[in-house]
Amino acid sequence: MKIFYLLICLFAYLLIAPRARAGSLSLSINPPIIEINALPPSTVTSNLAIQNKSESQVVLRIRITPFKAKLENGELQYLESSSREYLKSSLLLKNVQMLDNGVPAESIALGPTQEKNLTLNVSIPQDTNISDYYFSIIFVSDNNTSPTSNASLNQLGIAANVLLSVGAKEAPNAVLQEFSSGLFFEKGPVPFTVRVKNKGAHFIKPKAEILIKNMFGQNIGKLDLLRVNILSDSTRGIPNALWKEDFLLGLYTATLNLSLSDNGPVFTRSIHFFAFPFEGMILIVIIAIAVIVIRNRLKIYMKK
Amino acid sequence: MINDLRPACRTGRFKIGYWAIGLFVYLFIGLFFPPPAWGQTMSNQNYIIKTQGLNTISGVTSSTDYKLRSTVGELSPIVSEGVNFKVRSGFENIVSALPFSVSLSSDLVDFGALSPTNPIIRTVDLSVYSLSLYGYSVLASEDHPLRSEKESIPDTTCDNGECNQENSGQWTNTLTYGFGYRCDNTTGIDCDNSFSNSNFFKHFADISAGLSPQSVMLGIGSKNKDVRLSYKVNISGNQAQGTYTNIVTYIAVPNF
Repeated sequence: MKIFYLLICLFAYLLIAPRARAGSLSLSINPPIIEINALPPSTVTSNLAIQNKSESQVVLRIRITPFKAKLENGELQYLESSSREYLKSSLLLKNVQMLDNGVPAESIALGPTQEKNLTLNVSIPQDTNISDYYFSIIFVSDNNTSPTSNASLNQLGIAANVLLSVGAKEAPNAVLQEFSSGLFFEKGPVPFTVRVKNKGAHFIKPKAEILIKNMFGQNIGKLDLLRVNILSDSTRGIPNALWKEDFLLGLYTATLNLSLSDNGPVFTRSIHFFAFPFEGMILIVIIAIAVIVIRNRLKIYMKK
Repeated sequence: MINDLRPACRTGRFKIGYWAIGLFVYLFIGLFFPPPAWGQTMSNQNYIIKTQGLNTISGVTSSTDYKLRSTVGELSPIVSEGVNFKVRSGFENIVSALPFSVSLSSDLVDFGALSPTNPIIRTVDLSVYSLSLYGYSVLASEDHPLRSEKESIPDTTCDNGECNQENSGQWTNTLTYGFGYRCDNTTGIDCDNSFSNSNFFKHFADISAGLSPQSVMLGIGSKNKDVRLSYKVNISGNQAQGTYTNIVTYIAVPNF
């Protein structure tokens, strides 16, 4: 009888195979961007906080990966390890470390909801090329689960970007490639396109505003554009250049004042656009005609 | 008479005088012995860190009738300076010093037993809390196609045989085999436009084949973004029995 029970238990154990564990992953990082200007030789440090926001422990591997601008929207593209740019960056990136309590770390373990403050340490030797170096510090979860059935294991990573300028900042060398909007609008908002090409050796962060005047020369709108980083030898469109004015009528002049740095140089360019609210006007005309017709009918009726 | 001997200041007539003296002393202390300002500056022999903008309190309170943006303290970024360097951390013009966050609903997508010409679809949810004005992308890749000890399930090329890690294609035919994924918006519109057609799939960029990770979602403009990723696998009758696995990696990257 005992053997019978034992067999039942064994059979049940075999049938009810343990399910593979599936847990959620959640990470956050702060700050998401670090901008460094350094003169060699120097050792730069900066803090970086990484948090495991899930309810289970996670082991994160740390990778340092160089990137370049992918498109004009600030999106980045990691460099192929065989590319020339990668090799150029790798000479400096071997001097980049993440320190955990002062000790270089290639991976860290974070308990549930634990946050850890790490230190980014960049040693810039005297003979470092005067140039810009752009890289991400990527934290990727390790997944060592052994699935018992067909499965995809998921890993989650999060990155912070570092823009490192080595050498003295020179006068920015950039051109305003485009400042435009539509020629005609029925109503707002009015979107503007502002694209700047950085031809210099270092990344820049231009400051720009758009002033809008109506046909009487009165200032009626001002847009402070977002200050975005434009990497060396790349073009970037400045986002959110949108004049949020609903009712528009007449000729407008938009003037862009673009300062490539806090100390200039400053570019100024003006464009014109015209607005006429056709829909509103058609409605007004229809109402006016209706009023006239009703009034005439009333007059005729009154005469009778 | 006794009342007259009391100090004049206690008679009530000079209470105003007391108040005036007290106010004067208070102002005097305030003017010449001001309390220290709680600036955030740290320094030693080698460096000075000046916290240029750290929001002490900030946030947005809103109702149907109003939206109140409160900020106490200055805004990001934080600037620190050393002998030969200057570091600026964080974005400008971010009202709150918000971290960049990403979540994935599961670290395992279990397909269970696979049977020929019977596609299996499993989902996983991906969420990003981004910095609205600057944008972000989430890059995805696989270490290799689904693989057992003996052979692989190839990455799908869809019904027309032309979809890949960059371009999507329709995949409805049960005689089209492989492994792929699609992305559906839950909150926001950050899935690639090529998934706007239902039943359109791509496959993950295969790192073992030297491919670069591709963005599965990217966006700008609002804070919370959620998508649902559907993994699809379909095998032919010739596929060998075995346990097929791979690792899919998602990396959330803020725009610079």
